[in-house]
Amino acid sequence: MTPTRLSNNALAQLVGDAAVAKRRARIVGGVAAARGHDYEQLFIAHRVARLLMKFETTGTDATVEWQSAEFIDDVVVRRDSALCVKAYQLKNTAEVSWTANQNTITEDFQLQATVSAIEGYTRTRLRLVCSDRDRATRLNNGVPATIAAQTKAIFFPYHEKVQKVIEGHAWMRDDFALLSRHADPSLVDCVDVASVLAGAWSVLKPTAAVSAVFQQARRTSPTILRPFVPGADPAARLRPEVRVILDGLPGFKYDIVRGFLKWSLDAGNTSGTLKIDCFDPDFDALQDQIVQRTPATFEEIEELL
Amino acid sequence: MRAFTNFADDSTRSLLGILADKSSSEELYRSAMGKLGEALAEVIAREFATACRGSVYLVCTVEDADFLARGLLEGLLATGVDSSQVRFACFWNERSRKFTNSDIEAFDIAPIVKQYKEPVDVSSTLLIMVKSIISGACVVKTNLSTLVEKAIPQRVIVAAPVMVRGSKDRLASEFSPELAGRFEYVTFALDDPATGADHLVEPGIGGSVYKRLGMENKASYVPDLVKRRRRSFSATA
Repeated sequence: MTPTRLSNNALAQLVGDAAVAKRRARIVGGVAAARGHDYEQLFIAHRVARLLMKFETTGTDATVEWQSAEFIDDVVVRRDSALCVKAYQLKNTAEVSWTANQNTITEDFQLQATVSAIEGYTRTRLRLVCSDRDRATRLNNGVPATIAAQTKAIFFPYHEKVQKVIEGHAWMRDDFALLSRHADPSLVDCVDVASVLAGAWSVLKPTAAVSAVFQQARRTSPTILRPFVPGADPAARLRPEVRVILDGLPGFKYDIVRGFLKWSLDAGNTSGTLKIDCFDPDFDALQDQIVQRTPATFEEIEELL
Repeated sequence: MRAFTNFADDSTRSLLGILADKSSSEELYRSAMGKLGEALAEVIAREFATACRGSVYLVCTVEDADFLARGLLEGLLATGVDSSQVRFACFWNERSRKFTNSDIEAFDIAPIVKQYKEPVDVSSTLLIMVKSIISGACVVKTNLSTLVEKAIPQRVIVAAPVMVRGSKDRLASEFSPELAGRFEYVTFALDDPATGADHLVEPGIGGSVYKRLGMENKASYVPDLVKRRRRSFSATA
């Protein structure tokens, strides 16, 4: 069974005209208010990073929606094949409560749980995301009983500089690091991963499969993210005749790390990582050039690297 | 619109004019860059005389190595800095500015694909980051972040013939107050930010520094300065 999204008429019968009208109003206002919203962009980039890891390990893709036509609308993640939906309401402020404005948030969460169940989702998880850690803790400790079964409040940090957010939160850095082409990425490498995912998402939004975001990001900058090629060994892409040449270069060391050829000379004063991965057609072209030139010293191969 | 700083004199104004003049030959442009490097060194040696008595770490990107950075290095040596005090690093960055059809204006990354770094104790050095122009500060931010991840230098001098207004604040905002408080800036001219899709500052340094220097493929370019110093280090290692 696949979840089926309710039409506006079906929705109105379920929750009433007033609730549907309120949701429509929030969609319009939300898009305007959220334009260029760094908090949402980084949150989505981080969601995509985590979902990509799940995609790699389980093969299950997910769809991310921004400003979705839902009662909890900021970010919605659907894995329809697993009858699973996760919806996030983001509050980049400490001034948020379950009961403000006549229980607006609680009511939205209730309505979302109802609608998702009717649509066929068997696993609905709802999250109120707050950029104030203490407030998020208090909100999570005080989730109203009517929505407690599906709901949590969680903390997600904000700073106008992405680098400072990632620098200050090791768990976030670790999540982005897992996608980097470097095995031991620097802070800037992790920020680049976040940036390229956020940029790719911004091209595809408001709705995109996580796998599509990844492909878009790698098309735009093949230098940031490691490749996902299930079942393929990147080291096997390095031809034996090229290995012989590289092995013969005095002082030259190399390895295939996360799908990229990484190299260094002597004590490591000179080092680098190819800007394209081993599955890229340009990698074959590079190998052709190496074989053609058959360099005997680092200086003779340096400009190719 | 351009404003000259107090560090600028008639000579540096003239050299900046050569860069801005799009009809200047490649040879003249390269020469002017080298002389501007020397002029930056003179200012640094004068304004930061005490710091220049210790370890100096000169850092640049590939396009600047053989011209601006070489001029700065030679200028420092000419003012009495001993060559044994100086260590050098050069980065090759792969720039990616903006996604097509994206509304993220600020997207700008410059991952390092290759680097030459002479060993140095970063925590006890005067780090001089030299670049032909500092605009978005993305490349400087990336390279500096990489160098200071494990240790903070005594002082960081960001030196560029031309800087764009606001770039100092933009750069400083990327780092901790502890590190940003150690930044010093040496420049001869301040220009307005670029407004066109090509990201080129006017008058700036007269367009794309790669094209003006005759360096169409910077990825494969290996600066003579890197080659010379690497040979020298290999011989003494």
